[in-house]
Amino acid sequence: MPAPPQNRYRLSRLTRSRPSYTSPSPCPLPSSSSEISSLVSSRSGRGTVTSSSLSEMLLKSSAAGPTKPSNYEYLPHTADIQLHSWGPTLNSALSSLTISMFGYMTDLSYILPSSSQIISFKSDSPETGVFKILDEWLVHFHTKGFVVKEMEVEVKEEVGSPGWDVKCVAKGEEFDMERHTQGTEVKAITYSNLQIHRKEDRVDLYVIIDI
Amino acid sequence: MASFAEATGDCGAPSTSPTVSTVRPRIVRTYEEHMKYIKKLTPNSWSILPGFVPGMSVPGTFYVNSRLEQLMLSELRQSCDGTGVGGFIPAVTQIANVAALPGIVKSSIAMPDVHSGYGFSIGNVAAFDMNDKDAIVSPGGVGFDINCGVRLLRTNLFEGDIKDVKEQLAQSLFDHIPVGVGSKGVIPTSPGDLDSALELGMDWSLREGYAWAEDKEHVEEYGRMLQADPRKVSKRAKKRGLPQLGTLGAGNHYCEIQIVDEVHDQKAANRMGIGARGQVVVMIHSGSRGLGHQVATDSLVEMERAMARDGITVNDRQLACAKIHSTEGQNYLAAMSAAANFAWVNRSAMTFLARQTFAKMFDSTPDDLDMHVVYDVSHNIAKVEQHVVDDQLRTLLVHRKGATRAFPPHHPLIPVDYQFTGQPVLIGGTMGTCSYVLSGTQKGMDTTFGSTCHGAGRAQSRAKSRRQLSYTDVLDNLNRKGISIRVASPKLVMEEAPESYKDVTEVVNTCHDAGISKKVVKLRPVAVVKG
Repeated sequence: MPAPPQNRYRLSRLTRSRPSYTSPSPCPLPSSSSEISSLVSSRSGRGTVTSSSLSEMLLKSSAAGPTKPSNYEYLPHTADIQLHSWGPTLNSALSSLTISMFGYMTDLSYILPSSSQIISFKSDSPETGVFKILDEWLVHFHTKGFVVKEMEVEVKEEVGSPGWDVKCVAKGEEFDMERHTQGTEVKAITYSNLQIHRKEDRVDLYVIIDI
Repeated sequence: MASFAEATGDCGAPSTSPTVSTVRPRIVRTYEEHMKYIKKLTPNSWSILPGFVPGMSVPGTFYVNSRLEQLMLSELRQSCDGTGVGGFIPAVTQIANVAALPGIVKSSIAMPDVHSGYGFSIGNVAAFDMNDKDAIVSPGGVGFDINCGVRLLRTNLFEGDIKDVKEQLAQSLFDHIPVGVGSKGVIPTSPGDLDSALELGMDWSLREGYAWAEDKEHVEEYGRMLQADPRKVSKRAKKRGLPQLGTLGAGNHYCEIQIVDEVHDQKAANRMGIGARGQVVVMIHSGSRGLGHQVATDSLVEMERAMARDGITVNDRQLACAKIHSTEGQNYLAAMSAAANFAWVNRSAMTFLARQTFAKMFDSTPDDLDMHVVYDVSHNIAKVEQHVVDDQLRTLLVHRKGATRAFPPHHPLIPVDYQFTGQPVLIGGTMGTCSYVLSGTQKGMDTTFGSTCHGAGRAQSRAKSRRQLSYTDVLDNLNRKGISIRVASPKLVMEEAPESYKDVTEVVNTCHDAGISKKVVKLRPVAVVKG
């Protein structure tokens, strides 16, 4: 027989205290966007993120990038989202691609490049290489909470084989609910319609991520 | 396994050969040519005839009414017009591609909420013969969010009881249940606990005191899949799962406080304890979080290798699969079951938190508030089930991806409480619309392997929603309807707006009219908590 449910009424030790929502009057009908955003960002006790900054952020963040000029965009897909990044070199396109994924998860302008992480691996095809860069960083995020803000990547292409030898150094910091904003969660990277277009002066990458 | 070794031997493909060689080329036709293969059978169902795509051993079937069929066919038309760059495969083609997989039985079936997905379309049901040595299992037929599902809790409160405290209640739920990107669970778990949870499912929740004994009775599989083997779950998946146990997630996942709005089947509703109009219930929609996503990702990589080795031919590279009785197939089923257990533990943890929220708010106990689990359904899962096909009882591996099991009255696998009503089916609506409770029917058992729809299904892409909808308009709309909302991410408000989805009522009515499930209760939200 299973033990009796001892925890049934002992919640207090488990629940963390979050700043509670205080509205001017019960059930207010929001009249301005800042009021509405106070409804949304109800954890208004967060460090630097105030409700008005959230709404401002919302206005400018939909397409514009964080700090550096953004070489990426989000393309429509029924249930998921397609990342499209580009750059003069493969390395810069890969770097933009990674940043575009994190840009979907949080607003990168609040992320400080205060610590760094390294990943390196070998892949047996370029597609796997692109896939693994995103997958590795996604796992880093889900296990250590590390958000990539800037990334340097070095891809060594093996002579006579399609394989890649990849090394990435990323700067960013650990995700903190008090200081950072929450975007949409990325569940997984897919090979679906994964495209790498390489020209002399421009590289374009397309990846669909499951959200 | 002898059959497995034979298959490896005669395929002749070296293990290093690229998997591309096992993908059949796509047929290029005009829309009119395509339509010769698609026939309307009844006002609510269509058939896709073999030949629509190469290799179909059974037809495809999809359930849509006159309004939903337009979405379906326009998607096909668009794919014929386009150049194919950056586009995606329409759901009709995906249903047909699944009908060409080895070992499929009867038909590849799609529910009214169908839309294009990864390999399989969302809303696809496909059954594979367990006794066919070539039959396959596919992670794409389950989806990334293994055992994503819906749970409904009832209360003995009425709308009037919560009217004045609705805002506080929504806030309190938001404070109790960790939601959104980067949120961490509040249930203390060590890696050892996680292994036990993966193995024991809701028995773990019960042992640790997060669930009631009677909860298990009202959950598919009693909240525990016995095939689960935590050793088949990668370290990486466990690392992702550990901090996320007891978190809701983001995207379309939510916890809602809802009101019983319409009762369509009084007898069944009474049996479920939700027969009074105005009664307050709580709906939780969540899944196996990062753990399940990683299990799916890991298996896709493994299966690509197995496909090349075993010479499995498919129409689309995304339909990664392995023979059920191969090592890869068995490993996936064991890992998937463990992830399914994780999802039940996860929903149980949130049930616990929701019960505490209500108990605190009303200064009572969850028992006194009668907060029982009405039912808990899984809509992304593969299960071994017995079905009668061509008058023969067959053991099948039924994949349901964005489709819900809906067993009829008197089925041995549904709890004793629902023996006379049929299995409760929980259909989560979209933010600010409505949700439904349905019940399973014999007709569904006979025609769709006992399956029905799972929700509204997306109609519009997320990026388009972000561009077209204004965040304030969406929130204004919700407010006008008297719905309190707490979301962690403002962008999500646009992406998840009702405008981005199909009309859940159309979807449910199609299932009702086709007879594959029956409407019992309609629920209307009054408070929404989301990632």
